[in-house]
Amino acid sequence: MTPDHIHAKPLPVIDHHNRTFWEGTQAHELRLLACDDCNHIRYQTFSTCPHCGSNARHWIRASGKGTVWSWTRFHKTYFPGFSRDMPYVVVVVELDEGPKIYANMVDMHVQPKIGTRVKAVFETVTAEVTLVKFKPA
Amino acid sequence: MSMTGLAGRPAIVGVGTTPYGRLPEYDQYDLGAWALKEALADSGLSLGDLDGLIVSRIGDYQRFGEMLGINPRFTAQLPGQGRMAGIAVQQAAMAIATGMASVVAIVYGNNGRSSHDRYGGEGDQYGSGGAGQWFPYGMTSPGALHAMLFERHSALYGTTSAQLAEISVTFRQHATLNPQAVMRDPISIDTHQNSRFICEPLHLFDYCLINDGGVALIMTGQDRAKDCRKKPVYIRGVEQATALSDSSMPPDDFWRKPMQSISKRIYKKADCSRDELDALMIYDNFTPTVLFSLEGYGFCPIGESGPWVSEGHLRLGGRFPSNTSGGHLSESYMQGWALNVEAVRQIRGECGDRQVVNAELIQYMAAAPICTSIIYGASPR
Repeated sequence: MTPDHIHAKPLPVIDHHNRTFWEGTQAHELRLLACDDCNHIRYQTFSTCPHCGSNARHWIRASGKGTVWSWTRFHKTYFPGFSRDMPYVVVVVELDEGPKIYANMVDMHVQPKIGTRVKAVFETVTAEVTLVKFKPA
Repeated sequence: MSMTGLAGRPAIVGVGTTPYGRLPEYDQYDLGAWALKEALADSGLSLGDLDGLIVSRIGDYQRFGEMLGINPRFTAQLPGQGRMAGIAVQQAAMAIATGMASVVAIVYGNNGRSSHDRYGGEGDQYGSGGAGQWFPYGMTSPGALHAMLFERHSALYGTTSAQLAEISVTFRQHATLNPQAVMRDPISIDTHQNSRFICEPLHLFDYCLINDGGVALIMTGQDRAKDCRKKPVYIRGVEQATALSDSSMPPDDFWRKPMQSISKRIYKKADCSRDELDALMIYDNFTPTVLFSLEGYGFCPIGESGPWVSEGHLRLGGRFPSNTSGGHLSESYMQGWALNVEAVRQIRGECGDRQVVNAELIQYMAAAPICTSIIYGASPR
């Protein structure tokens, strides 16, 4: 575990919309919003279902399983906090529940092949923040 | 109203551009005002003739109007995103068609180079609600999203980086013929392939150029256009379609659905066919966008844009000469605005060494969560 004072990477902005998501990662759960009315599942924490417009929603615990949709390897340092990790890979994972999600693989220097099956793992970075990352399933 | 929805066909009667590059003495307002003066001089009209104003990337329409001392009866402001260039032209055409205005200036000012815009990192606002949600993973920048899209396209269809290089090399070749282009030294496929990665698999030469500059166009109705100083260039058709749903994530179809929707309508509106086009102006923030546009707007079969561009169709002298100014990759990243000006100048025959012979019909097209397209013509129909 990395102590708070040396985690120089950007942290998520936690608000009333996404608090349950970030409490979930602390409990090592990947939580997604599901629509009460049409069952559409979303990663974005909008108050409205983009599929049917309903505001009725509940959190589900996702399987954490998915497939690598694509990746890019950053050679340009946009964030000083990543300077020791250059170059690093960001992946897009298509979760089995439907939504896509941006993340890193646990080893962010290896790029996975598109189509690789992956599963979620949880990495504590500060007392308040645990990130969801992925490793080959 | 005519069948096109545009009462008569509005026309561009003036275009104006500043030099592009590093202009630290000028802010967005100065650059916009400079381009506007050039456009008015080009049209033979004066500030007093304007009764419509649309600004983009210029911070505040009110300040801009105050600076120019004008009171247009129609005004709008669009955010400084490239997808807005086509929308500005479309809104001006709508204002004229509905009688909301008779002479509309659409004005763009960009001091991105001098103000050190990076399009990535802490200030990144790209996408739906900004990219801040993904910063903990180091995800940022439109370039990264396009890199992911290209990698996906490669995996599905076998498209290669060398095929992207063909686009860079072609547009650079065009820029060598354009005195206004910022980058005019020819490059080769090897130059592209050996350049450093930014967001791999994209290389430096897959990225557009951040510069300072201003662009303005003056539009008026068909009747008034005939009396202006230069040959009018008519707006034959405008169309827009979007993919806002789920737009934080790279789209599975490379924005194909909205582009296909546009293509179904725009040629009917413009009363021409794709085969009659003399040149294309393709929004090229990154080279992969050109491939996605060619497939989505129907210039080549799905998945075959890579080999298709390598056949040389986009080159001057090719079947669809494209971005004859050098585009965003080599002239300057004026976010679609200068490509619309290039379409007008080509149809007027003002393009010197890079002139497309008998250019009469040119299509502008952009691929993004908002797709726009415009067909410009030498004749109203």
